[in-house]
Amino acid sequence: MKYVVVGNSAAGLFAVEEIRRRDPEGEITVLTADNVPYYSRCLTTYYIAGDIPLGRLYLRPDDFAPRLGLEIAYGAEVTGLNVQKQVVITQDGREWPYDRLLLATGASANTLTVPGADLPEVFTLRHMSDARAIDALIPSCREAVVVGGGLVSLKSAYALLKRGLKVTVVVSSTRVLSQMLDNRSARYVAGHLANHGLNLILGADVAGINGGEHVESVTLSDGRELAAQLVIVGKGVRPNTGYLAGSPIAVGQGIQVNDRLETSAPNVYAAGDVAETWDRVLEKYTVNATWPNATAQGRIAGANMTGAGERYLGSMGFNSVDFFGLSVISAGVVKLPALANEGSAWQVREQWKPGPWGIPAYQRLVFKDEILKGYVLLGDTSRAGILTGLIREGKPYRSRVMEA
Amino acid sequence: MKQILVRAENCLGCKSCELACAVAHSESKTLYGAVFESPKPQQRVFVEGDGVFNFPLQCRQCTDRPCVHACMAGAMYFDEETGLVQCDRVRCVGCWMCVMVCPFGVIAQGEDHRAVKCDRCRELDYQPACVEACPTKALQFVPVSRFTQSGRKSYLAQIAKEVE
Ligand SMILES: Cc1cc2nc3c(=O)[nH]c(=O)nc-3n(C[C@H](O)[C@H](O)[C@H](O)COP(=O)(O)OP(=O)(O)OC[C@H]3O[C@@H](n4cnc5c(N)ncnc54)[C@H](O)[C@@H]3O)c2cc1C
Ligand code: SF4
Ligand code: SF4
Repeated sequence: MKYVVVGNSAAGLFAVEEIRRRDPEGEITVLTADNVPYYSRCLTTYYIAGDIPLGRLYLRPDDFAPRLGLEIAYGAEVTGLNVQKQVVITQDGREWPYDRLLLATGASANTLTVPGADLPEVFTLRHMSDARAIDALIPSCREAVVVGGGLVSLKSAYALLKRGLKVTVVVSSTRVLSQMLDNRSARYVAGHLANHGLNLILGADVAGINGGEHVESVTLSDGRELAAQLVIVGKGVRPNTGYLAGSPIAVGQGIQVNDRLETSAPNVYAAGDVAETWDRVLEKYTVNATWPNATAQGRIAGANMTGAGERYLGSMGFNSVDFFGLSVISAGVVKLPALANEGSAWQVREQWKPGPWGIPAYQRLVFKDEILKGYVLLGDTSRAGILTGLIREGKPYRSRVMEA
Repeated sequence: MKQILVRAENCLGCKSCELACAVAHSESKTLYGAVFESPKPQQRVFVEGDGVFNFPLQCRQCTDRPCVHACMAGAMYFDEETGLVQCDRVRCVGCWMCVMVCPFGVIAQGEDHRAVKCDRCRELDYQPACVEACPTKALQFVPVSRFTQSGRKSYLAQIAKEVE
């Protein structure tokens, strides 16, 4: 059996490990646009912050590929595929035949389109190379502007703060982490970051980035100008599906897969940030671009490529952040407005208690018909996993069943 | 393979296991020494309950290992040799993704900002101190095969009533 896995990140890694576990003989080829072995891009902000050395980003020991018998082609960008011939095509024109193919090509960071966005000190943070370039630039900077209020933006801002820069985060919406948090917790997180020296500007857009050859300042749509020698743009990600143009593989928000993680073409699977999967909480297809979803999908796709026939019960939206000792975890449905028309079936229970070291313990639970659908925990997050488990199980909240 | 089996009906809620666990993970490995250590040695077994129904719990060694999948630092890993899920604390960055997904809520957030979980008493030659300390045999170390799944379901159901 010839397996080809495109991508060597979260989904691709857990896939090859699972394939090898189940099929000791099969030929596994990994094609990746990257030039470095398996690493965690989630750790790039910890590296920039100076919390961990660069080497800690690598996820597996040096002898990993030979030990698993992987043939890894680095710098091999896939530009097309032919599902009739069952071959993948790389940018050098080479054709790679497969019996089973996994597309784990992840996502790319969205960029800004404003004037000056092409200056050399304007970055997105997605790759190890981005992190290294930002790290190298920091000693010559005093001020930085981070664009966007999502997880990657705030983690980047946190890292720059830790390195002693004066950091301004510019967010178009009126709150931070709008995907992940409700108003109350978002306000608290914003205040907490401000207390640690972050300058936060909400409800503003970047109109332009100024400077002849180097970034000197950022102009906002309301005319304000912020001095900066470094800009990091965190405006979300989009699935890497460009190479599928002209192929019959169905793409919606991402590559569409069924509950075996099969795409619309035979013997072709997809997993991770590139895949549009069934969201078990929202009960619709969507892209849940987080590490745990990518690894779980990678593992199951890998299993199924060897013929295991495992079902993927679905992804879910969840995330965890910790800024200066403030832990926040959320999962599933956290806000009601979008669902308001469904009426009284939806319920929110909130609790805000004082906690140790001045950090409150906030708990927001969202139910539909007594079934837990989502939560936000702030401060005390120790029981988050139990709540995630309850959402997953989908059992009525007050059930007393003892099954074992 | 041997696993730690929980017989909740035997648990009196005395928390002897919690204490024994903290001592087993102290530098000195003695109660008197452990009390004075800084950072304070942390327990990895938790007695949940209301005084009537009690439930001692530590890592259940899930077969689907959600914590390993969630760990974006490669710190949580499956040790092929012992068949145990372990945490390489050097790699841990304290992102709490594992805490977010552990269905039993048995990963603690250490004072050193790193994850703390049951390591099956690795330093004591894998002889769990909690089991030894339990006076009522609510914790037993026995060869079992498939109790993980059923144990989790009943625990989730139990916790569902009291989580608020
Ligand atoms: C700074 C940062 C912080 C993050 N923090 C968190 C966090 O705290 N929690 C969390 O859950 N998630 C976090 N994420 C998101 C997480 O990193 C992703 O969900 C995860 O990496 C997805 O893995 P993946 O394997 O699907 O794809 P990716 O990691 O995007 O990897 C895609 C792979 O495909 C390869 N590739 C792409 N196109 C091609 C092509 N045409 N040909 C060949 N190879 C190709 C790439 O080289 C790469 O190897 C963070 C991301 C970033 C950037
Ligand atoms: S730490 Fe939690 S999630 Fe991980 S194996 Fe143990 S019980 Fe399961
Ligand atoms: S807290 Fe540590 S062990 Fe847990 S997921 Fe994060 S890095 Fe991994």
